[in-house]
Amino acid sequence: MDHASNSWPTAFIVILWSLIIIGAVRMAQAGRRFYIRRIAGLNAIDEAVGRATEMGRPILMVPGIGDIGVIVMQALSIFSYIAKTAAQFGNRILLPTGGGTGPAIYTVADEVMRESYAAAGRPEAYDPDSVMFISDRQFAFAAGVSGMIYREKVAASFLFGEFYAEALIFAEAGQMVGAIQVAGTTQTTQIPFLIASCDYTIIGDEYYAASAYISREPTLLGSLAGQDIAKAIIWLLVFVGAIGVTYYSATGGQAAMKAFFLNQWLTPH
Amino acid sequence: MKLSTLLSKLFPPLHGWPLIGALVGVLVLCVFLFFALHALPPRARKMVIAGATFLAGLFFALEWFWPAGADGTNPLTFAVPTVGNVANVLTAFTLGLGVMSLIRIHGNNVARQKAGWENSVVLLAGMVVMAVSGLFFEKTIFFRSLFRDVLNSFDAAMFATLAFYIISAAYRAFRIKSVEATLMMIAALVVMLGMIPIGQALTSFIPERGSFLSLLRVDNISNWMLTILNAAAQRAINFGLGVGALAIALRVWLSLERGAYFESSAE
Repeated sequence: MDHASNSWPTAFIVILWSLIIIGAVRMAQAGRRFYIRRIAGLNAIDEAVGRATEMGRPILMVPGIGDIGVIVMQALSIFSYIAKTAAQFGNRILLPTGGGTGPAIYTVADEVMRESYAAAGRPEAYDPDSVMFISDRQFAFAAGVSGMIYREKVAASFLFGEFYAEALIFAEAGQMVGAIQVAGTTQTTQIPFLIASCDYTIIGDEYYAASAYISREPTLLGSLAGQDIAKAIIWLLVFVGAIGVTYYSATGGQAAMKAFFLNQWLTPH
Repeated sequence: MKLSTLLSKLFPPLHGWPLIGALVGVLVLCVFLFFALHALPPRARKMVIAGATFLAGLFFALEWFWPAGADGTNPLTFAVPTVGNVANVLTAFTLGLGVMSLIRIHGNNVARQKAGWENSVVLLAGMVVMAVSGLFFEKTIFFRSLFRDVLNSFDAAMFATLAFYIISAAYRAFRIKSVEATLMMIAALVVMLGMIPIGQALTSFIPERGSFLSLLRVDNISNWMLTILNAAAQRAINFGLGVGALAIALRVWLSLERGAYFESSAE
């Protein structure tokens, strides 16, 4: 099993990043304001919900088929915001869940949607049948969701979470019915398909920035600022490492490159 | 005394009536805890949840940071599979809720004869047939045929539709309507040519290595794009994702985001 003792420098970096993120959160909670650049895909969420309201067609939200964890929790936080907006406008929402831990996601999603409607002041408008479990099998889930898209002719489709091959099935089905589609995933293998099929795609850590961007809560903004500082440290390490490896490989050969302190320091033993 | 040995002495394996008694006792305790949590005021309930979340995360954090011995384990490693099994058991409980959701929604469709209620009949019948055959006829040809010849075939059919969806997505993506689309089109063309024999034949007259002109071979350019450009971009994305995941995990573990988005305000 992997432990910190396999690579103490890695453990040190994890602790350093954690302290930076917690420190930035505390600063934000104390009143420090942080800037977030514009993210087109997240700005489009309100536009998509508005379009669905005008067309009188439902909004689809799919949290992917990954195991319940930080990725799904982030997706549900985004859907919570969408549901609050939909509740205010009286839009119908559809939230199918699936995958290995689909039932667990279903129970959490049901609670999140219920709380979102209550927070929007419309608890009576929540339809328990709008959140449903489809299947734990990947393509059964894909068939169920794509059938839902075609039958309901959704006006807006939000694909946030962990997706695999079924991502393209959802995105193309949404294209066929003319839905406005916003997607965000951590699976780098699916990003090209979503970019080709969706109107807006959230790439990389924009996915984790989404909740901060939407809610503008100090805790989340501070966390985002802490992430940026951590990424700046990574950039510095990569820059120093690239310069060092290039220099040592040009002058000292393989032995010198292996002895380069960053190589020794960060490579697990 | 090792922690694993101490716990083995405190909680020895049970069989027969002692096992049933222990299960009943745990069930009673769970029911008591359930009602006790409900009786707590919301603020105290949130503190209990935050405490439980912190302790659960603390176990895994401690297990990772605790130095491992020569055998790659530390005093907490033995409990990792058990804690993982707890998560699996909780997930299995929720499977019942998922099945209930399916039965409720599709049963409602059938009872009220909503549009497409016939599909709901097929779904419910299929669910019952698979469940019964899996429980009572698992070793028979009937269940194996249902799984291998029906279920797997349907999976393969859905997977096959991807081929057509890829074509339509690629057609839309490769229409040259902006600078980025043009760059993507050129890159895709070079990478695809570098992977197929006819593309490689276009520059086969250039030596594969040992010459500056080797850089102009389609397969070398394709390989460079994939292993240098594309890999660097993917790693950059993965760095951001890793840091983002750490940030969210910290926020959930330390309950820093209470009141941020799942609730209207922190109490």
